[in-house]
Order: sequence, then C-alpha cells, then structure tokens
Amino acid sequence: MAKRILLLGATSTIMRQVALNLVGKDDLVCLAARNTEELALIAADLRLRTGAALVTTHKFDTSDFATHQELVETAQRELGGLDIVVAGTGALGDQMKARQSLATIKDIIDSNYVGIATTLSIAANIMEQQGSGCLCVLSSVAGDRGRQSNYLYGSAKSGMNGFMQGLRNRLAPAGVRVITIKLGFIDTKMVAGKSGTFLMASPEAAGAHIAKRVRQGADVVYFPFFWRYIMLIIRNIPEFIFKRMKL
Amino acid sequence: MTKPFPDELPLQTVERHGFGNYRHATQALYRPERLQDILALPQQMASAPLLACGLGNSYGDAALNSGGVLASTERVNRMLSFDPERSVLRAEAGVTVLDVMRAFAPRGLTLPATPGLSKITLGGCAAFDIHSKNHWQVGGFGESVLSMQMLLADGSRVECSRQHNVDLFHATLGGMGMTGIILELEVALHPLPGQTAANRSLPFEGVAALLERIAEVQAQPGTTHLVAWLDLLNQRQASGYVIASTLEDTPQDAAIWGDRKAPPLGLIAPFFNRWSNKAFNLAFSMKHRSQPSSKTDLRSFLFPWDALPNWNLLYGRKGFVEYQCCLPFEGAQESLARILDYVLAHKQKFPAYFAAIKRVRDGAGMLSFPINGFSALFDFPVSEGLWAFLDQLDEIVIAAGGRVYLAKDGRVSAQAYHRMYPRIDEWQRVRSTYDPRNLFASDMARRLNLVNKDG
Repeated sequence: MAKRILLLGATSTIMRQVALNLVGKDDLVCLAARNTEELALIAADLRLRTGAALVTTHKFDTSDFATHQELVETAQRELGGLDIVVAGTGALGDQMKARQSLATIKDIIDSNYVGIATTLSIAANIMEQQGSGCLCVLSSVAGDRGRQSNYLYGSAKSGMNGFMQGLRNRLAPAGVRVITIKLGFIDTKMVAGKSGTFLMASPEAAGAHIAKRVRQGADVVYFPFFWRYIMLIIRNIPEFIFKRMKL
Repeated sequence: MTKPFPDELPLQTVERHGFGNYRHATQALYRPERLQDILALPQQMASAPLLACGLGNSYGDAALNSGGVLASTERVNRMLSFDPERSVLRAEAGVTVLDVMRAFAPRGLTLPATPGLSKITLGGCAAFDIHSKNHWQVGGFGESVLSMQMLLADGSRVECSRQHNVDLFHATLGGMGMTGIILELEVALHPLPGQTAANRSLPFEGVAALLERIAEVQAQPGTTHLVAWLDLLNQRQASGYVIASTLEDTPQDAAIWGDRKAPPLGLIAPFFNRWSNKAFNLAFSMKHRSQPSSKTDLRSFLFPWDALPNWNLLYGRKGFVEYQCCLPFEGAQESLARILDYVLAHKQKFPAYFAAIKRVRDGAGMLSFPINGFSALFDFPVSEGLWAFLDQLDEIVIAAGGRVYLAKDGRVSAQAYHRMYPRIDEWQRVRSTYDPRNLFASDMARRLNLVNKDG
C-alpha cells in the first residue's frame, strides 16, 4: 500500500538516506527543509531514484513556529493523509559561542527541540484521530546525559526524548507508533574530522536502519546498537565523579 | 608565506592506497556533502595541489595526492533530471554506476559502457573514459557523455560538450581530473535488450585461433559483449576461451541491485598463490569445456566484481599490478604473440594469475586509453624484480604502437608514457589554458609529468 510520508529536515545527509531507504514506488512524499534550493535537488533525486508517485517540497524553518501548523496541514492535504512523519532537523551548534550568544542558544534549542515538538504535536493530533501512523525523531545519545562539550545540544535532545516518551504513552492506545532514534557517531560533516570520535557508522547504514525501524515497530532505538551499552555506563557514573570528568 | 590550504575547510588527514595496494599517500581529504560546498574550493586553495576524486578505486596513484588536498565528490551525488524522450540523465559527478542501474535497469535502460565494479562514480568513469566488453560495438563511457559541467581553476563553472568548449570536453574525457572538477554530467542511456546474459564459450589455442574466434563472434548477430579468458599458468602457449554474450529478454528481480556485503577475502589471502590459481584456472577451463553455454543475471554479468568488491585483498599486503595495455589492430597477431610469449617465458618468476583480452575501438577523449585493436590485461602479484619486468613489457607495447591504461597504472615511467600517448602535447596545451596556475595535480600527474611546470 502506498505510504504517505512527511520528512522534516529532508536535506540533511542522514535524512536523505532515510528517504532513499524508506520511500518506494507509488509512495507519496512531502519534503520540508530550510534550504529550498537544496531541497529541490533532493526532491528531483528522490523522484528519479525511487519512482515515488508524488514528491512535494515546502520550506520548513524550525524557529518560524507560526508556519508549522500550515505546513503539516498542507502536507496532509497534498498527500491525502499522513502515515509517517520523520523529523531529522537539528544541528550541533557552537557550544563555545553559545556561552556568549543568546541567539545561538535559541537556535540550538529551536532546531533540536522546540520546532520539532510544535510540528509533531500537530501531526500527533491528526494521527490520533485517524487511529494509525508513525512519528519518528532522529535524536542523539548526547541527550542521555549532559556533558560540558555539548550540553546545549544535549539538553535539547533530552527535551526531545522526554517529549517523545510522553507522546508514546499518550498515543499507544490510539495505535500510533512513536519512535526515538538515538544516534551515535555518524560519518557526516557534523563530526567528520573532529577529535574524540570513534566507530563511526556511515549515513547509508544509518538511513537503512532507521527506515527498517520505521517500517516495523520499535520505541527507542540506539544506532549503532552498542551505544545502548556505552550510554548505560555513562548514565550510571555517579554525579560527584562525572562532574570532574572531561567529556 | 601563504598557507597551503584554508583553515575554514573541514579537512581530515587520510592515508590512502590505490586498489592495487602498492601505491600509498597521505593527504588532506575534503568531502563536501552538497555541490554548493565545493564551488569556492579553487579560490580557497592557495598553493597546495588539488585533486577531485570519486570513490578512490583506481588501481595505482591516479586518486592519490601526497601533501595536497583530495576533494571527494562521493556525496555530491544527486540525480538532477531525466529526459524520457532522449533517455538523457543529468546527474552530479558522485552518482555511481550502481545508482544509475538500480534506478534505470528496471525501466529497461542502461549505461552503454560499464566498469567491472558498479560502485564507481560517473565522474570517475568520464575521467578515465572507461570501457567494457562491448567497446567494439558501442564505444566507451565518453561516447555516451553529452556534456559536462566543470569547475575550473579560476573558480568559474563552465559547460563543455561536442558543441561548446570542445577542447575542454575532449581533454576532460580520459583527462585524469587534471582539467578541473567535473560537477555534473549529461549521459545518454541506451535501451537494454534484456536482463539476462546468455554466454557461449569457444575454446582456442594460440593467438591466431584467438583472433579468429573473436572475429567469428563479432560477426554473429546479437553478440554484444565479448572477452577472451586466458590461462597463462598451466599451458605452454596462450590458450583459453572466448566468451561471447547476448542479452536475452528474461526479466530479473529488481532485488539483484540491492546492497551486498563483501566476503572476508583477507582471510583466504594466505592461500592465494601460484598453486591455488593454477588449480582455479584448470577448474575454470573444465567448467567452460563441459558447459559451453551459461546464463547469468545482468548484475553478475556486467559487474562480476560486485560479488567480490574487495578482491584486491587476496593479494595481501604487497598488492598486485593489473597491467593493461592496448594494441593496434594492424599487426595485432604479431604484437599480441610477442607480449604473451614474453609473459609466458617469465611465468615462473612473474606468474599472471588472471589474463583477459578484449576487442576495442578508438576512444572519445584526447588521452582515452582504447585504440582500434585489442586490450590485454594481466594480474601480477607484486614481487622482487616485477618493476623491471614490466618496464620491459612497456617497451614491447610501445614498439607495437600501444599504450597502458592509466586507471590501472601506478608505475609507468614518464618517458615511456609520453611515447605511448601521441596526443599528450596537444592535451597539455589545452590543459594549461584552463589551469594556467597548475592547481590540479595528483601523484600520477607528478610521476608522469602530465602537468607542465613551466606552463
């Protein structure tokens, strides 16, 4: 059966791979992202590679809250319903700069949390009413514990994870699936070449795994899988030790 | 002193080797994720040599740039548009042959020329003007390229084709990335006669019989691909099978284009030697003798190496040279015999584990490898004395009016190279008009003296 899919932040390297792995022939897709020029290229590519029946594009700015309702409703109208929403917006941001700049703090929190929470809330209402659907967010293992190197990004992802937990709890009776993907290091420009990275997974592998999880049930997914155990350890380090560590 | 490359670029220092694993280099890698992020690169680069590369699968040093910057276009890979009337695809340079086949083979279209491994970028295919077993019929990759958009050394974006900037077009096909960065290409796809290959194996002994068989199968209607496989380990004279193939209209499941896992070939490398290859060749011969016709699905047929994408690991740490040369049709019987005799005479010391011969015609670019005649390739494990042995082989090839293939090369001398490619002077003149400050270079370019220092 043809799926009706809304992808938020569709121009990111990982989201592009999610799209290529998730979208099949006959599917109806709405792509949304801030960079509309790049979005047009991504859409053309997706059409040619997958043979999707419909690919539409819309500008999506996470901090422009007033437009979010209209975006989701437009997508619902164009696609004739909404089966899957995947949100992959967000950026690491500059933690050092954020110490001095309120605008940077707002950017990081909006793109990683607030702008997604607003948009998904609207989609959640639609799916609750229709009694089916799947909401998925690309979050990060950084949300599992705040660290000095990226706690703004991490706290926004934490907020996102909490939001998704609650949403999952609310929508379970309605038969709507809510999936949190906690990504470890993925070999994109966000982390490539930075020190302290290890065992990076390719965006292709990440995209394939996320698409698989969206197709068949999961609540919280760590990718690559071993991050579940790394974070289990990190979460359990007592705070009086953790606060002295350089992480 | 100006810095060789700018601070704002996210560069990673990487050590890389060619597919043959005998040439290595350390360089800075820049891997933009969208085309926009590559456009300022020529202006940002002050002095360090710059080289665009795809997935880095050339065998020697063509995709290495010691001490310079390697700009990988592997993620600049959007398919941009498709014109169904003319079957013309426009795509960014990092789109791979596999991407194209995955999207278009189920619609009955194919790239006319395809490399033996499908994860090769279109930009790379153009930069080497790659060929396949049907070169004698449809020509090389360059012939299906209608136009290319180039990023030049001065930072300008220029479209070149057989109508506009004609010199740039012909200098770029087979130009090893030395004219600029290929950003986008327009390629004409061909109708795919079928999804299943029907193969016939015809035995031969000796060069005269080999050329007769090839001429026979060329004359048979329907034959599209042909290759001669040679056993140079077990026999006194060159013998083997000419394998001729026709594409049949038996549909295949689109799943054949899926991702595949590479087998752990490194584990069996210790058992990959002269004796196991002798045994393999005998078994291969026996199979073709007892079963002269066979069928293969399109992917296994066009891309035999997709099942073993890491087959280079078989040769272990020292690596191997895939020596590939092209010989003119006139006098081919004599020159092929001379080359095969030379290889056979040294088989104790320098065994050719794998050998194949194809029929080719003239290529489209100034420095395209194929010339009307035959291409012959030999896989030699690297061993003591191999370089001198191959230098001798170069001389035989040059005397016959032939040349070696740069996609496979990491060892030919500059002096020999310039005698193999008569259009090199013309190419250098064109190249220096588009890159007067010699921004683009590679380990290969420095070895072969491709880039005119005083230009």
